[in-house]
Amino acid sequence: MKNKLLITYCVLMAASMSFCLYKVFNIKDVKYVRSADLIYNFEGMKEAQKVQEKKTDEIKSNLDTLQKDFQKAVNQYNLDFPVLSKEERMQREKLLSMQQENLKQYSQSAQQNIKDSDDKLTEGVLNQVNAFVEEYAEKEGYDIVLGTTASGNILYAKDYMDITDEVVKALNEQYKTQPASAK
Amino acid sequence: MIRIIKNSLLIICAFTFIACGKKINTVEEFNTFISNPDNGFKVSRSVNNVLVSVIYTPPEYVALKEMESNGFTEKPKYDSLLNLSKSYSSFVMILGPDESKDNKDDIMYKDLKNFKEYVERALTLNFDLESKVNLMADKMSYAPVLSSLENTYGLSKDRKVNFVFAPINKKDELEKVKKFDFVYSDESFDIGILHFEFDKNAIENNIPRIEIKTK
Repeated sequence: MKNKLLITYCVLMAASMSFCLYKVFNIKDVKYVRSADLIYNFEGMKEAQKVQEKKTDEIKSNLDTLQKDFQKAVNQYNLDFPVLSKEERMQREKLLSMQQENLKQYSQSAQQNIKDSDDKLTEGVLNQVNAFVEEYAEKEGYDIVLGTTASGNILYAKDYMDITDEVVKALNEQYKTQPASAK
Repeated sequence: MIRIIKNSLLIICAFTFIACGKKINTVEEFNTFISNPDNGFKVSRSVNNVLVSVIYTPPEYVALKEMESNGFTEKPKYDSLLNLSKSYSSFVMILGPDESKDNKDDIMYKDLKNFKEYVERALTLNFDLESKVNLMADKMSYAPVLSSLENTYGLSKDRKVNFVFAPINKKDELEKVKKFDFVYSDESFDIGILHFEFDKNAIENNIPRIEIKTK
């Protein structure tokens, strides 16, 4: 009886060991990329940043114009102040106060706009990179591609496992797609 | 004698080449031809489970389509339409779910959280795509002069948008262009800025012969 139990135990142990070894050796290739380097060296990210800078400049320029208009109105009010009646002063101050409030609201909404647009562009770029890495890993036969981040989810890996440069190169090459037959 | 044989052989070769070349009679056949990515007219990109395809529709296609939709059958009419279409560049952009990634939902509803977002997307696709697309050619940037979203009445999961670009300075400047870079700056599906490059020279050599059946 004891022998039977021992044999069963050994068989089970051997089976589970084999399964673990099969799992470990079946992972063909593990690679990693430096996520920040991959993103910031991607032409798509550089183009998105340029688009974002252009948008931000346009909004800032509008804001500057509004601010200048407001400052001009304040200066004019100060110049006119001695000759204005009490009622006229109150009316002008009310107008100035409204103008200031509008400026404040525009500034807040502009900041929100810049942030939303930046988030959208970055999200798009990240999705492009993710889609490419998936495609690339499948093509190259990698089982896992890890991404290093500042929070340090990979503490150490051999250099040969780092495929950042080759991925950046391939990613930038395919950024401007051209049909194979037309090349 | 040798010259006659040589010339005859050349003529035979030319006839064989012409006879074997791809012939197109209908828009449907042309559609099938340009929709095959191997022919160079269609470039696709898949990001975030969204498949974006851009098809360059050559002037020959545009002219043939106009012929069919107007019921014309005369060759001179085709030539006239072709001549007119040559100054412009037309593209079709198809936005759809990437079914190879198990995404089979209608593209209009992708990742929507509420009705407000649906309305925004519908408005963007119908009226604002002109500001999201531009054509780069010979260091010049062209904004579309026309864009129209085809209504599918819910029968299709993807959406087609037609774009037409017109010359800015000279009538034939788009005709002479060697490469097109169709740029779509997406703000609806989180897919970023996409480039679709077309080698116009290579494509032009690949355009099939159009046969107009005169009645």
